[in-house]
Amino acid sequence: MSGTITARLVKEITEIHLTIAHISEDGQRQDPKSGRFVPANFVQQLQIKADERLLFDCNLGGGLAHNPQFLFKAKGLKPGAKITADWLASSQVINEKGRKEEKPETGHAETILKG
Amino acid sequence: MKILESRRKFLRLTSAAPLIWLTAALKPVSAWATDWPKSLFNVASPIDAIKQLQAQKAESGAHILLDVPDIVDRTDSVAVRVMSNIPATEQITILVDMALRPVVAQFNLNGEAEADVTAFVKLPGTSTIRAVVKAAGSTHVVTREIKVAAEGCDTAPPPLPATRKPNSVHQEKGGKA
Repeated sequence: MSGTITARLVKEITEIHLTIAHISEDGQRQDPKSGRFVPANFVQQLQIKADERLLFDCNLGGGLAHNPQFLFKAKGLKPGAKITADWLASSQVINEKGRKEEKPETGHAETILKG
Repeated sequence: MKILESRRKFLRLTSAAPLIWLTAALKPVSAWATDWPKSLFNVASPIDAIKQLQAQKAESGAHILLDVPDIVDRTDSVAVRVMSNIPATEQITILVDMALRPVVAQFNLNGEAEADVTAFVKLPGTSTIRAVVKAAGSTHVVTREIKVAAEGCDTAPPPLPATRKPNSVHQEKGGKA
């Protein structure tokens, strides 16, 4: 999974813009052809860190948009700070035995704050 | 006797050790500080979600800005901004009432984080949006409604009535004349 993160400094406030490339299926949508439910697959957890210090610890649901975008703000960060985003998505996959199985996927994006 | 005892001790230790290793190996190694709150995100009604968030007796959200558009025509991605001016804001939760799973996102703030977050949500139709904000010892709720213009672009046009045949109109006209 990939995503893009940008950070910019506006006076004292740091604006962090994150886009995650993910289908974000909530598991409630039916396939129009087969009539079956499309299995759930969405980003569940997201952490935004600045220089390894946690800023935002987010729990997310399936109601977020396809390719979810976020705008976070932080105060007091200095230019040169390394801003990272780590996320964990969980998708339901049908395994060889025909059973539903949770398959976790992780993603990472990082940027350096410019002055 | 001494040798026998030490041998027993040795046997007992070696028989227990693999069990300990096995339990250590089976434990999932997770870098995530907290688990995903499954019960909250699987709730089917916003009232139950508010109960789980312990926000039944919430204070007014006069110091919170819930910035959403009044009317939209595209429902697949709608910006929801929540800004709180309450000091020591700890947690922001966004709910979409009409969705089958109303709890959409929960943000826990730490350190230098500002209480100003924007997320893009899917809308099932005209719906009320709630923001539940938890600050040091108090809970606040703000609600706003987003209207979807003319059923939006996601819905299919209504199907034609089944009894109507392509040539029936012309035949009727001909019959009358």
